[in-house]
Amino acid sequence: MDLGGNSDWPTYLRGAATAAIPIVYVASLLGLRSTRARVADLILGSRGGVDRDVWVTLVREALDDRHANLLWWDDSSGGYVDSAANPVPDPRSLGTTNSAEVLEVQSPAGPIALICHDPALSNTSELMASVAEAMRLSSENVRLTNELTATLASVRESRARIVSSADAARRGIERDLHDGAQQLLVALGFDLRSATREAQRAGNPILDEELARASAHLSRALTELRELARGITPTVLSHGGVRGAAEDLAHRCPVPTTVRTSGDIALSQLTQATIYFLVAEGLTNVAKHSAANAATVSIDLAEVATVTISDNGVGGASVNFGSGLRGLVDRVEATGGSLRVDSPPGRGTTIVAKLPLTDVG
Amino acid sequence: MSIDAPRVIIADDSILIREGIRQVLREGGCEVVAVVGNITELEDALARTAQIDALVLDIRMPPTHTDEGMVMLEKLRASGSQLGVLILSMYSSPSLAIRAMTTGAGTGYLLKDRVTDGNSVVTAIKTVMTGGNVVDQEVVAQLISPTPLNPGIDDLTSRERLILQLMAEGQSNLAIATTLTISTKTVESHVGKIMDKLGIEISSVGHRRVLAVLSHLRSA
Repeated sequence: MDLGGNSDWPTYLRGAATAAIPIVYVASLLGLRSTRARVADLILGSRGGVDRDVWVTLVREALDDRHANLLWWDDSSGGYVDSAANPVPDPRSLGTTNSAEVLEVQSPAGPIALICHDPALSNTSELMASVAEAMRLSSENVRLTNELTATLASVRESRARIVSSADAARRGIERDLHDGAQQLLVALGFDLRSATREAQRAGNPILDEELARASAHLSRALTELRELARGITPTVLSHGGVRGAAEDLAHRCPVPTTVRTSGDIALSQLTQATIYFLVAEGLTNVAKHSAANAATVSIDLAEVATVTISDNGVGGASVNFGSGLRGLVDRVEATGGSLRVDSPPGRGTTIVAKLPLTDVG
Repeated sequence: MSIDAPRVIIADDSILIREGIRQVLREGGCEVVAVVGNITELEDALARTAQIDALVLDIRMPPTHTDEGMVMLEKLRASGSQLGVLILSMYSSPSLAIRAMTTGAGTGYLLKDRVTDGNSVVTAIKTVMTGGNVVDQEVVAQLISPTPLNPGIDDLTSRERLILQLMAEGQSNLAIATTLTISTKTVESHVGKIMDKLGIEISSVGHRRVLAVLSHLRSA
């Protein structure tokens, strides 16, 4: 390119370009900038993990060898492959290439790659070692990142699994109470009734009275069992969905509570239960700590489920204060959602949770 | 239809409960024409039995043990059936009671432990088979008493509160009059005052009145 002769170029650029020529020339003469800077380019260019094609380009530039090539170790086949993942024989075993043209890059975990290069480069051991080190670093980086991602994913999955299995266990207990203890107690009620009739028929007022007392106790036991079962798991979910469940909860809250819902989407058991616990715990906090005289629950089902519980009370709630809110944060995060508490002193409390809509299963 | 000897089908998956209810209903003068343990058996029994007056239906049934009974009730009503249906439930849940009442006239929602009291279950059967409605007193009490949701409730006299409770349980003015041994005119006058104090207008009768009262109490 004839920079100086191109009269369309602005004067200052022309000047800059002319001035640059001797610097590049001097740098390449010294061979300093080229080695260090090109290796630096290689490290910078590859640090985020790059495609194998890009690696080949980077290595060619770093080595200033446009015929250089890379072969990658493939664990599954126990041999080398090219950038397109086609198996290729180890060039050292073919006898056509001498060892001066191949550099093996290794990590403690095993082989990484072979750099096939111009044999003249074998004399530049510092450069070759730098390139190999850069490849090793990048490969380690990618391996660690992958491991971390996998670990993170598995931790997320196991948190969600723990929550789901705790929910399932609660449902199991609730089912056992209903189908076991409660049914048996109702059956006992029938027995007491028969016995009462017999006592009346036999004209035994003392026994009749005893049986009446037993029946009254049984009736109280059934009422308490019902309360207990209700506290264990949101059974009403399976009957009335989150709306019915939220309304029942709102109704039991001593602070007048309005429930608003929008959107009609089938929710997974996990999401339903999480919404239930949010509303239950949120309203418990309203009742215990807020000193509010009005509260609102809103459940909005769209791309995500947004659950908002707000009151006009004293504020000052924090996820660090009391385990209730902390537990909610854990539960919401375990399902991949997020929870925010906004509670300035004297200006009410608003809890907003956003939950991903998991598959209905 | 015989109001003295209602023909009843019992559907409950627990054999102990089924047999207990059968016993109670027989002693109460009902004719138990079929006893079934799941929805499929129930559908068969409904198809092959003539002149059913009422169905006593457990809410939790196989296979999922959640709301099979309620779904069955909704299916029956959707197909135009006016059969009296008494839902038996382990849950003292206003939202479930309202869901049952929404299906229309001739529907009852009782807590399961009431079945050991022969009188109340037979009375409930006779109510639903004649198009009336029944809501368990414990469910209604939950709506009326504990929360300050409806300031109007505080303004009611204890007499008016009792009448509101009975209205929500499904009783007609005549039934309330009989229960409290007062005239229907007095009941009507109380009902008028209750409506004024709560700020609601309920001109309807039957299940619509029950539903209106329950819904008002719950949403207030």
